[in-house]
Amino acid sequence: MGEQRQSKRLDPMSTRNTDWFWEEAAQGRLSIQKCAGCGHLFHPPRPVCPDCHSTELAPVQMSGRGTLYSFMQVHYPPPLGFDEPPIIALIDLEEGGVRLISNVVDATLDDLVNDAPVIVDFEKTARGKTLPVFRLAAKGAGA
Amino acid sequence: MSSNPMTQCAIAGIGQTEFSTNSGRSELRVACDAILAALGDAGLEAKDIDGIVTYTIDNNDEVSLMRALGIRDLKYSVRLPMGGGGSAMTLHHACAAVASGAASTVVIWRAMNERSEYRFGQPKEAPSGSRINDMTFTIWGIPYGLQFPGACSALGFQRYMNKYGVTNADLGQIVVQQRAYAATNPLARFYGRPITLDDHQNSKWIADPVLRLFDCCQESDGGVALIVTSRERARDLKGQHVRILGSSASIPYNVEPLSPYYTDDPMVMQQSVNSARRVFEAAGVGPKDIDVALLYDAFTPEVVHQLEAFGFCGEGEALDFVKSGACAIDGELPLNTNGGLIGEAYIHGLNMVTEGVRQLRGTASNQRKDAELVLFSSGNGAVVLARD
Repeated sequence: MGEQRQSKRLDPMSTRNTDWFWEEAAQGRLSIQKCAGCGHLFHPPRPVCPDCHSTELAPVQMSGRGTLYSFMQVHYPPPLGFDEPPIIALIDLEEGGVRLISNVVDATLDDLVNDAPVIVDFEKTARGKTLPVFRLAAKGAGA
Repeated sequence: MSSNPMTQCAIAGIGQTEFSTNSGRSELRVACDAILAALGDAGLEAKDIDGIVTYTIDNNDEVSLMRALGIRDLKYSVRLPMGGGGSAMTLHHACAAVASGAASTVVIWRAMNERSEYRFGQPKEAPSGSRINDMTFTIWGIPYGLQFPGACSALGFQRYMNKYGVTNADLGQIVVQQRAYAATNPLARFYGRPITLDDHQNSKWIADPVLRLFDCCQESDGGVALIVTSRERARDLKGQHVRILGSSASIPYNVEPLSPYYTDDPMVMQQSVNSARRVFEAAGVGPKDIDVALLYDAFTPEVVHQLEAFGFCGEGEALDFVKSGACAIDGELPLNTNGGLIGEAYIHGLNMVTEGVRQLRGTASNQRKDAELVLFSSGNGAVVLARD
């Protein structure tokens, strides 16, 4: 875990289609839904594969490596759950075809460029849920 | 003359309340005031209404509106998805109802106290009201600090800025023009309050490096209503009608209105590309024919995407187009001449339609001389309005 100080982060909403994503994160895994029928990886999760309509879908662990598609630092109104303005980013995973909303932690806006390599880490919410976050790969994978 | 019945409808009346930070009355009363004003403009009565259309995130319900206004029997009602992105789709559906005979007189409304009763644009821990639980913004954004519409709108746009070498100051050119329009529009929240580019650049960061405060619409109390009927009937009514020459809607696969992050290329607004193609085909006109463009501008990046999607300029050229002065009243494409949602008020798109009607009636505060064709786009839908 990269973040040792007390987290104020909000929990993600709980839904039947998405709870598994955060439960995987709690196990230290960044996992994405994969269709057993056709092998399609997709995010956000859904109960049916949009390509073959199979319902045989399971979380599969990703490498945790990706690139920075787009990013920004949100200042105002101050987002709930943060002491400092968070850097929010879209991350393209190296497995292809999967883009995530996340944070880039331990970085300033000046450190970031489009397509920079990033690697997953995990942070807790105030109530103890776990969120995948990312840090610049060039700065090391944390820990 | 087209035989497509979808092109034979008209806006027969428009109505609105004042736009403010505190309406001082219930949202239901605001809705009633706007609808009664539109009926008065058209020369119709509430009992003439047999169809009603709105879109999500309005808190008023159809039964309460009917009960307050004395609407007797609705033959057609629909509440469209996509929030403000659906505002132009309302006209498409009203035309479909009238053209098919499902209804003869359709009222479209939006009425909210989004500033005084709640803060529509502020960060949220969880959605409330309308069920938008499956939107990216709520499930995937909230724990990461992506908690309000402005931030959602900005997130993908940093890549566009980097790709095309544009900055927030370039976005500011849109705002300076729109606030100049608002400054001379007595209906506008920002009437008499133009800004300079320095003012824009001195406004606080919402999302660095994309959005500053002045790139954002401001939550507003107020209501707008429109009456749609056939052209044939509209000709016999009191109000000066405008023709709905073409209309379209598009909800593309995997595209959300505020958080369209999962397409191959979020730098292109796919719903607008689709609705542009369809609306121009329906109307039999192209971008060069449009006299005034009204493009949904909750946040400035949306204007950029729509200018490009509708072919008013090439990909990556929107901000050069704005900087050239094209969007001034005597320019190539006067844009958001009421001040837009940023300058007039954020009534979720419907106040752009009232401006379009005023332009075609020749009664706009910032009047384009001899305007004959107006385009309104809300992302998920578009209409071409014409003098008739």
